[in-house]
Amino acid sequence: MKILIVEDEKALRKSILSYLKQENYTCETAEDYASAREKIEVYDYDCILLDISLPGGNGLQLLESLKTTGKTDGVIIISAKNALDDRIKGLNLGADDYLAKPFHLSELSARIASVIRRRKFSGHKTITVHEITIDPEARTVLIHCNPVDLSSKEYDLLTYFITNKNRVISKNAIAEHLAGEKANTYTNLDVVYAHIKNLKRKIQVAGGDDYIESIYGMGYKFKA
Amino acid sequence: MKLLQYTIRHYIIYAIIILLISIPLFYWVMHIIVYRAVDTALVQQKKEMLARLPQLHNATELVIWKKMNKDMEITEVGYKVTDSFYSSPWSADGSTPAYYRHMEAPVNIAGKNYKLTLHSSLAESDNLLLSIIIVQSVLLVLLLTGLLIINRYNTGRLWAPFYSTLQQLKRFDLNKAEKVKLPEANIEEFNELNKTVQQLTEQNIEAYRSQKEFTENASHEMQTPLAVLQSKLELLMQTQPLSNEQAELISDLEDAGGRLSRLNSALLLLTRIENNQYQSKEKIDIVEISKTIIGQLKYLAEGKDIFIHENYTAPIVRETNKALLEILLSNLITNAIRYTNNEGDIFIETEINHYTIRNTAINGPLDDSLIFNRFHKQGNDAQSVGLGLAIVKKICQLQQFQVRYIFKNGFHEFTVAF
Repeated sequence: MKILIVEDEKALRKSILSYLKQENYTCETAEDYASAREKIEVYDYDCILLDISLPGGNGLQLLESLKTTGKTDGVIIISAKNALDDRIKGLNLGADDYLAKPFHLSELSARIASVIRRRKFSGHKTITVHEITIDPEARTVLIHCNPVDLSSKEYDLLTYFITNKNRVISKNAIAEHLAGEKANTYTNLDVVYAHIKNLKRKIQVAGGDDYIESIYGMGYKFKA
Repeated sequence: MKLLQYTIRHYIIYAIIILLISIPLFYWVMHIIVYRAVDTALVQQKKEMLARLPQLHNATELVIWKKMNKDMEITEVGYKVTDSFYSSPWSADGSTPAYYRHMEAPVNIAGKNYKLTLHSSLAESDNLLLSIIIVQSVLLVLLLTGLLIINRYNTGRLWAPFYSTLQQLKRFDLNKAEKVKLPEANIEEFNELNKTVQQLTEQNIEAYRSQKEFTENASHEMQTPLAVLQSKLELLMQTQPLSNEQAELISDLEDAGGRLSRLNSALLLLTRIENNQYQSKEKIDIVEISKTIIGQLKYLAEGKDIFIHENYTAPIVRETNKALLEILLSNLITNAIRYTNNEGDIFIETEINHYTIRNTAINGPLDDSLIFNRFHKQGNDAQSVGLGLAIVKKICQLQQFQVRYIFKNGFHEFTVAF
């Protein structure tokens, strides 16, 4: 899977690069408008992470030219602006997702996975980790081929863990992921804890292994 | 006291003083003049008398003469008489006495001293005096009231531009950033005032705008370093091996970073609302939005075993901004969840144009003069940035909704009147 990171802030670019490389993605970077344009024109990517304010131009223009040339690269806008207009404009121009800075790398990774899944297989693909099989289209989970009845939030949690497997995910990242974009002004770690406990219990009842490990002080890790 | 009343008051006081002083003074002066005229006439009459008296030679002739001249008296006196005037009631023929002016003068008839008393009726003079006084008083009163009315009318017109400026300034709202439009006045001072006011408001609007812009820009600029901070901490979490001590340090840092970014995005939202960046309007079913938001937030309530009772007795449909309405309701609902103890209750109800949310209070009533202020925090919840209700208030202000807080039967109750 090939990913292009268009981000002018070097430190952030490095963070994203380092996190995504461990997910076995092939990553390239562009630090300004001109180099991003060149790379987009020459190569095809599975997903482009696009910052809006770039030295030398606007990320939305890149998106526009990408769409007019008929390229099918997935695009996630990562912007510090998070202005409603930008979001709507970006999505209208054909971006697949919009992520406001600051974001958690685990969240970014989950969004990328989701974009690539939707693009490559039109959503009809299951994710399998050992005995657990997830159907993202139907939002169902099978363990040892038996359906498991998960609440919507538990399902979100599980897919979040699986797309970030073998990574430490902070409690705050999980809480914000559960809250979603519209309501992330209030997060409650006790609630996160309660939901994780329920999810673990349901997986174990269905005969699955206990993959979700609590990491002292920091958060959780899905070990697979 | 109003400006017009104030200026008129001085005129009225002056007019009353002038009237009070001038009418008696006028009467007094007229009185003196009239009496002097009467006296002069009497002196003239005396001279004529004295000219005719030498024709009398004895007492008999005097008696006859006296009978013929009823309006005078001549009496023999043993003392020396000098010319003198006095007024008293008198009657020539014994009928009801009227006021007369009398003059006494010495005469000598056939070597004897007599006192001549002449009379002149004051009735006519008094009538004249009274008429003059009345006419003069009426004129004076007319003159002064006329002046007052004209003055009032003129000052009213004179100050009209001032009042119009005042009205405009009263309507001026810095948030709306509408420039004050002041009409051209005839008077230079008012034009100058208007110009100054106009400049002042424009400067204010500009200063306010740039201040808001600064807040927005500052918040924007902070997002990227915050993103760097957060991402580095996440990468740090992945490193091996980490001691418990290090893990705790990282976690604390991450909490602080998360709080900072929540604070920043709340500030950014607030300035965006203030900067009128949510302008589009559409028909919104508020009950529908409420249901959706509760659907999204239910897991938070469930995590605390809080039960949300929804009772929508009336539909509320409004032409408004969808994003703002979602923020408004979700802020109120998350607040209710946040400040309800485990196993508490939240009631959400609608009545005609009213949306009410009640939750079991942990403590007593909140200070409703403070809760809508920025950075006013209830308790020391590290998660809270203290901007939620300020945002609610701002949205209500902008969309012309009313938000009200009351404490009733152990419940916090927030009502939005749409």
